[in-house]
Amino acid sequence: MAKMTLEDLKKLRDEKKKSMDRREVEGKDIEIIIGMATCGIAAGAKDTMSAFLTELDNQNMHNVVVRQTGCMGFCYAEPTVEILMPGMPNILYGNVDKDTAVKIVRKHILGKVLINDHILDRPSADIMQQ
Amino acid sequence: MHYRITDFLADIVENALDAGSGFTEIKIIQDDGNLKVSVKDTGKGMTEAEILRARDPFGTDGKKHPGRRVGLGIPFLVQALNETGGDFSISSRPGAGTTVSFRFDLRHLDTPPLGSLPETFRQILSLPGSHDMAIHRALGTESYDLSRRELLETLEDLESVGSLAILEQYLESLEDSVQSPEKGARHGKNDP
Repeated sequence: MAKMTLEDLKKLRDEKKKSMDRREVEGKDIEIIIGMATCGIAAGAKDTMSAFLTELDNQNMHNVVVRQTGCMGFCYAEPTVEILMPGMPNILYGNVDKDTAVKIVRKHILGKVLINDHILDRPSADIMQQ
Repeated sequence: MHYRITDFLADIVENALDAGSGFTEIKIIQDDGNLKVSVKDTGKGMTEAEILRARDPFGTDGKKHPGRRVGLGIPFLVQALNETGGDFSISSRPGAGTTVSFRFDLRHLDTPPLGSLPETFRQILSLPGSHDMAIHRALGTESYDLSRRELLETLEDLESVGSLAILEQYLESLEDSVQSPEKGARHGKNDP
């Protein structure tokens, strides 16, 4: 791959924006929040984040927002991921590895079906009392 | 314990932002079998006692988890470095920020794999907040620099899938440009 400049990056951004405008891509109100504290990183949260970004890009859901946050108190169930979107309850999922991230995009976000065996009660009691 | 060197880096950068750093300067310099990393922040800084506590796995500022006594980021790093012949240093002053520096011996058999720098840079550059960040990456005589502010101006945001997908392409092209002069077996190029 040839070394890109900031100008190349801007061109790529403009091209992507044009194609997004034409297709009226869905996902403007969808937010994915990934726990990226020591516990999350140790459990592979960086890989989880990349898996979300790759799958959402493949699904042309370029407007979805992917944010990072600290520890949500479920260190034993990392990586933890919260999904906020219209038409679905706010859900915190645990043990979200790369395959589960793909499943969340396809089933929860696109299919509007919960993935029951990864749902966590939220948030952990000692964090809640702050 | 973290699996890759880039995981340790991500953890230290997260600490810098937690300390309120407005500008974080990261250097990753690889040469002669060593990987030297420094993370310099402009956060709240630490006293001597707080620096000692940062190295204690059961030490914490008590703010993130009031009922828990655990803080493993720096202890994980120090342990990995001790086991593989690396170096670690931390310097800090209250109100003046903190600099964490470490060196991994890439020739040591037990040194963790490097991991993907483009993936890690994308992750740390997209950490939320209005902070700025500068990254300098050098491999031998080749190098490149990244500025969070410039990337934000170019991409307009660092949180949408569209922006982060093309940011990855950009970061991979820069990393390829420093890797290509020495193609072949390189520690960390491929994770096991």
